[in-house]
Amino acid sequence: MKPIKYLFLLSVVVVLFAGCDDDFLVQTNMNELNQELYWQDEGDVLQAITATYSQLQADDRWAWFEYHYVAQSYRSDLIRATRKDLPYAQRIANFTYSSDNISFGALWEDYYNGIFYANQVIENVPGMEGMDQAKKDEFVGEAKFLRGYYYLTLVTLFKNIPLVTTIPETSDDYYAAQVAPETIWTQIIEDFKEAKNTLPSSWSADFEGRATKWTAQGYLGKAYMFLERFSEAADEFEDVITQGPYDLLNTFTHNFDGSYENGVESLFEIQHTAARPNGFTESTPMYNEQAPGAMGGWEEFFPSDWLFNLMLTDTSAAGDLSGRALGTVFFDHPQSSADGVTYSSIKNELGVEKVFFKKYLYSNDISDGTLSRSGMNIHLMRYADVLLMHAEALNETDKTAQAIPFVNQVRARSGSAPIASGMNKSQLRDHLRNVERPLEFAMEYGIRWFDLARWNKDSNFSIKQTLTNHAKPDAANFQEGKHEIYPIPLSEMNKNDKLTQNPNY
Amino acid sequence: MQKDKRCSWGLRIGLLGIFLFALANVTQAQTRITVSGTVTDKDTGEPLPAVNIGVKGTARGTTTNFDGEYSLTVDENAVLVFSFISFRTVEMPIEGRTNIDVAMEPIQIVGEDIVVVGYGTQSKEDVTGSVGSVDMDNIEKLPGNNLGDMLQGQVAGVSIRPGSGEPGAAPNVVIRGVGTIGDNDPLYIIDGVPGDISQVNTDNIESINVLKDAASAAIYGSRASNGVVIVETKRGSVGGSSISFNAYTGVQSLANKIDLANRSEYDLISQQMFSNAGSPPLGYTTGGNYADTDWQNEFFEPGFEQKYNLSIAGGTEELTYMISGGFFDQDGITINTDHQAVNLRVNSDYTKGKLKIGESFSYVRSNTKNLTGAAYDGGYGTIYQVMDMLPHTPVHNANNEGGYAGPQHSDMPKSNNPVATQMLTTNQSQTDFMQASVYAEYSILDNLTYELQLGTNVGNRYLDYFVPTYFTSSIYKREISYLEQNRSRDTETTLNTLLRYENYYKKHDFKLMAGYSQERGLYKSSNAAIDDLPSNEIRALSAGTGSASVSGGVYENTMRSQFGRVNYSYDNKYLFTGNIRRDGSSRFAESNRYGVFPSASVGWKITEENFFPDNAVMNEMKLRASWGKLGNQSIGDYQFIPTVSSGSNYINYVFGADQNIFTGGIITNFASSDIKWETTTSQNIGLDLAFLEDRILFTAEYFRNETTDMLVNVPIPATSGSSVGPLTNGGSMETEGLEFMARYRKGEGDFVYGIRANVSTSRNKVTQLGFKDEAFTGGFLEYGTHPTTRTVVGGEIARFYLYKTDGLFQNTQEVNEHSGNGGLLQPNAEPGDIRFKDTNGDGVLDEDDKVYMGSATPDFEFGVTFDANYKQFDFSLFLQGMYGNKMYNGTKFLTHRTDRNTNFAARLVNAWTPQNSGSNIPRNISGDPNGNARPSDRFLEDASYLRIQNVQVGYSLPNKWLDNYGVQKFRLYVSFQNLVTFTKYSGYDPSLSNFSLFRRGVDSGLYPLATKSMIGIQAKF
Repeated sequence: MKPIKYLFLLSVVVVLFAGCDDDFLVQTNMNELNQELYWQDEGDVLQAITATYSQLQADDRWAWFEYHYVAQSYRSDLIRATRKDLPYAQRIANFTYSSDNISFGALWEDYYNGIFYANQVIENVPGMEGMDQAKKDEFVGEAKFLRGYYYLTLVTLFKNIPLVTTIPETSDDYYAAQVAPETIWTQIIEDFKEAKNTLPSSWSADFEGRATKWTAQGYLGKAYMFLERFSEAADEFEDVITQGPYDLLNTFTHNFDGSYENGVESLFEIQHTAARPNGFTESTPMYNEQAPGAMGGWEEFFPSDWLFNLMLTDTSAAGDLSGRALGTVFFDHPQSSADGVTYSSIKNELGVEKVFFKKYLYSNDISDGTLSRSGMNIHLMRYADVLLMHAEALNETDKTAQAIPFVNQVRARSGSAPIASGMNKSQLRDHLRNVERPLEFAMEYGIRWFDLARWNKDSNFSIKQTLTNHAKPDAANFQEGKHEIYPIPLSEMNKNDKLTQNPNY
Repeated sequence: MQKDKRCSWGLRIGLLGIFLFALANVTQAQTRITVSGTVTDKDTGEPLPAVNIGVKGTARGTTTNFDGEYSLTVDENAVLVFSFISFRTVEMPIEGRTNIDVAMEPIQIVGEDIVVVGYGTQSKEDVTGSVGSVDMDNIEKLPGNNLGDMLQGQVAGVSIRPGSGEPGAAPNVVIRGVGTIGDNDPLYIIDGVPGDISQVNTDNIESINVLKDAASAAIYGSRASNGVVIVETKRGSVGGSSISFNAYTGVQSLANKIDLANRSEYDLISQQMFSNAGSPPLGYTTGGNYADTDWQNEFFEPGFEQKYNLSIAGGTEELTYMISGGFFDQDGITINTDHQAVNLRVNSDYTKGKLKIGESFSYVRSNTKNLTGAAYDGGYGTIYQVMDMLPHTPVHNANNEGGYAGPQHSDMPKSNNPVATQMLTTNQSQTDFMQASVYAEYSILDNLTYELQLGTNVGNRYLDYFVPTYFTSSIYKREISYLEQNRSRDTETTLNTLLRYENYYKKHDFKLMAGYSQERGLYKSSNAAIDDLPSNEIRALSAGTGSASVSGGVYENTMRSQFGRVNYSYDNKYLFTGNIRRDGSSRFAESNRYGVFPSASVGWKITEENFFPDNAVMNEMKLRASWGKLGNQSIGDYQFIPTVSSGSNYINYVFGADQNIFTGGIITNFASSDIKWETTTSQNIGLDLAFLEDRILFTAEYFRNETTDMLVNVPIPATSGSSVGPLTNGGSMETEGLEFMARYRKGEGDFVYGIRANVSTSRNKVTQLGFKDEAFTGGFLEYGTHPTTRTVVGGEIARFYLYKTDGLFQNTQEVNEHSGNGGLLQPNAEPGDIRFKDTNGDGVLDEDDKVYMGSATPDFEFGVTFDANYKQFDFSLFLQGMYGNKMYNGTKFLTHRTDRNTNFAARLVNAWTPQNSGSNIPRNISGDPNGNARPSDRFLEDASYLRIQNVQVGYSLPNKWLDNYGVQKFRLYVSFQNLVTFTKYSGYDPSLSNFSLFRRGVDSGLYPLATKSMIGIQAKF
């Protein structure tokens, strides 16, 4: 061996293993933003608050209907959802659901995600630099309003739920325990109060649809209604009615045809658009879900027979059918039409089902010819609701005479004859529960079941009895002490051993 | 970013030490002489190139050149061992001679003398790890173009299950059982570079070796924990040139149909369902002018398959080459699906003195017409649509735009016409795949070689998707057309550089190898879509006028590794192999970036011992044992970097009078910053036996793998705020198994035959998942409902977890007697409904009554090949199967559930009624109030099967006919694939499997395998 060979060998070895520059192993993610670079300016916070609102809609339009709408609406006495080929929904409607039902399971997940997003705003915004305090308070108040809204829904549907108001720091924090429902309600009231104090009373046209001070106040009133704190509720409603910018639209159906979105009658709506910039879809499939097959619909749910008959009694003094009856159901009647289609023109194409809901049945705001991509906003709280809740709060505080005009104000708009001015407290209560609210809010989002749930605190009221009286299909399956609330979703029970299942599930 | 100052100095110095030690030992211990000579074929007298010449008792040796000549420097009293495939091995003591000519006697024995291991080759008898070699004679007899599919049943411990019979679909490959809840795919090395085996023309393959244990695979470190499949393609050899031409053509069709109701059967079932529920029958079931369509006949159709391959190979001592071109064309067995691939391969090697350089180049273009609709992994596939469709609906309606019909009645289920979907939708993908590598080898010293290899794989994928305007019914109408074009570009580059050194000292033989490698993978994609094209004939994105969308991503990862290997043998009796590899990956944060993976293995050749009789019936007996650690980093890029989600449908929202979509941005997932390498510790014990001069071979192996720091997506409750749990290294699991391989060959005379069989079994057990309840529920059949599997600590991955049925209630009394402390167990049940067992006896029928009922993992699986030659005829039979595996038959669930009005299985006409109380089919009841269709053993079937996978009969024309035409070989054959399957499984195919781990044994409408009949020729000039 010559020395030159050793030298050569050495150089090979050096060349082989040199150049160990670790930058080679550093790759940056160019698809998503790094957390360290977030919460820097108002733009970030606007994105965060946008995300906090987003859980009002769910992942896509189908999920919103199948999970959020079905879970919040199908158990009520106003809806008949007896189609046997949609088991997930039918089992909610007929009280045979089990804890693995995907509808309320997904709703739980979406709303707790919304709460997490709200908590991120609430925790991160106060410490940010370069934003003025009023702006920060506004964002925090908005997040608190949304957190309150999500909790109000969850505590009503599930009752025994965890209260999460901070961002999990350690892995132990992922597993939250349930708290007494009263603790949740205390948080809801506190959140709505703070929102009421920090939110603006209106937004510029670019930001219409965001919660205002009045929205927060309306929901604060609604929360008091749940707690049977009627005089506090009435105070909030009175303030909204006397100080707020609201009024009833002259025509009932204008609420639903897209012409007065975020309008004078609207306190809060889920915002949709038919536009699909870059393929993003923020629309609703409500058209398909309620329309008859002959109009391209899927016929997923219908007015209950009891509601339909009640609608037929909602007339003017002269006996003409009210605007809200014609504006809510689509049925065999000379004046009945939906989306410009008269009932008589499709009557022969109908199958077994003959009576349909039609509140959101308008195709004037859809994208690319697809009925399931409608830009119609979905109401969460209308001024009519504020008026009727106010009437209810007054009645419950023995101010029946003061309450009646508010009821009649709502009726008059639809051409319904006024109620008897001599109604007593219990008559008015009964009227609101079994006539007025069903007529006005039929099929609207998350109202009827929530009404039933809050009235259930009244020892003279029974959800089961109401369902039975109103011939809700399969009301016999309703077990008292069980079906007033949903079970904790099975996937949550499986993942978190701190949770206790709701009674009788 | 700061440089890592610790960067492997220790390793560098260590390696340097090894080299210096090695050099110091280059001492001449004994008198050496140079022996040369010529090796010829005893029968023909022709020289034999490429004969292995070994020095007995050492690992040294050489091979003959094209003229059969060799030259070798050895100890003067050494013994030379001449061995060559199909020739009897000759041992020749040198006894001082410098010229030794040898005439070798041909025998009919096929042996795989050389196996390709990581970064090198090894004589099979020196292997101490677990390496499975594929018998290429078997592979060559299988038609098709998907190497993965062909490996099914070929190697013990390599489990291949087709994911779909769709043309061009890749199979599920699992080596030695499921070893992680993450990615179980093995690593594929093609001509030394990581690659994609679906892009290799099967006619070009020279050898396939599977590295199964840590000791053999550890040289591939971090990506080897699921095993390594090493594929070498054919190269030219010294001496003249030859042209080969292979071609086959044939037909394929659906093996069996599922039993679906025709119209009158449907009407009967539906009427019974509604009458039992006290409801009037659906209008369309009581008569009317409806069709009676057999949708399976409409959707499945026989298809054509053909393959042609032409190759030229040859070379001189300086330059060898292999050039090959092929064309493969396969129709699907469903309407409007097919797959074509055109490929070109050029491999060449150039040798000049101490320098050898060469390249491998392959280019494949494939075109595929895909099945439209979510195909296999959970979505509602088109095959499901076929089963859903009512016979009442006709296929065509000339009055509709597009020409297809849809549901004819408002009350009919709103299923879309699958023939319309498949025929009208354009769903075509086109892939261009290039794999190219170059290498250089330089012999610095006689026994020291330097190698450098650079490889690059480029995959360009393109998808063209178009839905025209059409109308089948008022429910299914497409008023606006939709066009989508997706492109992706995948580039992987590899640099390998190695030093090899070998030497010996007295009876000590050793080989050393040290290397460095770095890899970079870059993936970029861009997708564009637009609605509303002016006409169905226009397919340009720029012509669209509706909503447009674009998306895309950029993903890059890098790896850098140093590795080394020592092979040592003492007296050719005791063998030792040691590997070490250190990997750095961009997929981990700086603190966890590197992983070190060592392994060691030992072998004992008992037959080489002096006490072992020389002329024993047993000519080889070897014991092997190994231990090693392997890593896994198949977790996707950037997982450790905490990110903010932004701009998705889920978190966007709308504000403003103009209804503008605002981009949402928020943290949706908790960070997984601490993740590190998942590690598998593997142990292997093997025994190799050979009898009667290798006529009988037998191998048995036992392995045990333990995966720790298993990366688990911890399922966290949604109340935490996130739906997807963070990744942690919290899991661990164990897999163990046994593998046997046996072979017998009768090699002499006109009638030559052989049989080869392998059988393997493996069992896995999850020992830790790293979170509270430690369970995963999976195998959902329908959008997150109808779960069928559960994975818990202490059990196997994805066991079926289902309610247990206990016959049907025959009368009301039985319903009432089925009660617990809380009242009736099944309050909604009526006579004719299924009785479910309250297995835990707590008086309530709930989730806790589900029980574990086996899994998709078989008790054992096997492959048996029999082949025979008689004069000019040859015959081969390949059987393959599994035993003890379960399949959850989603198609049965779909066609037996009575809570929907889609089509049913015809056998439901025999459902239970008070008059037909002997039936085991529950009553037909609309709405299914008792939940007869809940996840239960009703739909779980034994999917054990034995399949005649291939039968081939061939005839080679006698040489005397061919010689005048310059033809060396001309063979004709007929071949039948997937000929018969013996199984109790009632779905389409018991061999299929889903890709997702938690639903492997869930048949959710998988595209069935075809049965094929082929004729072909093989010619060589």
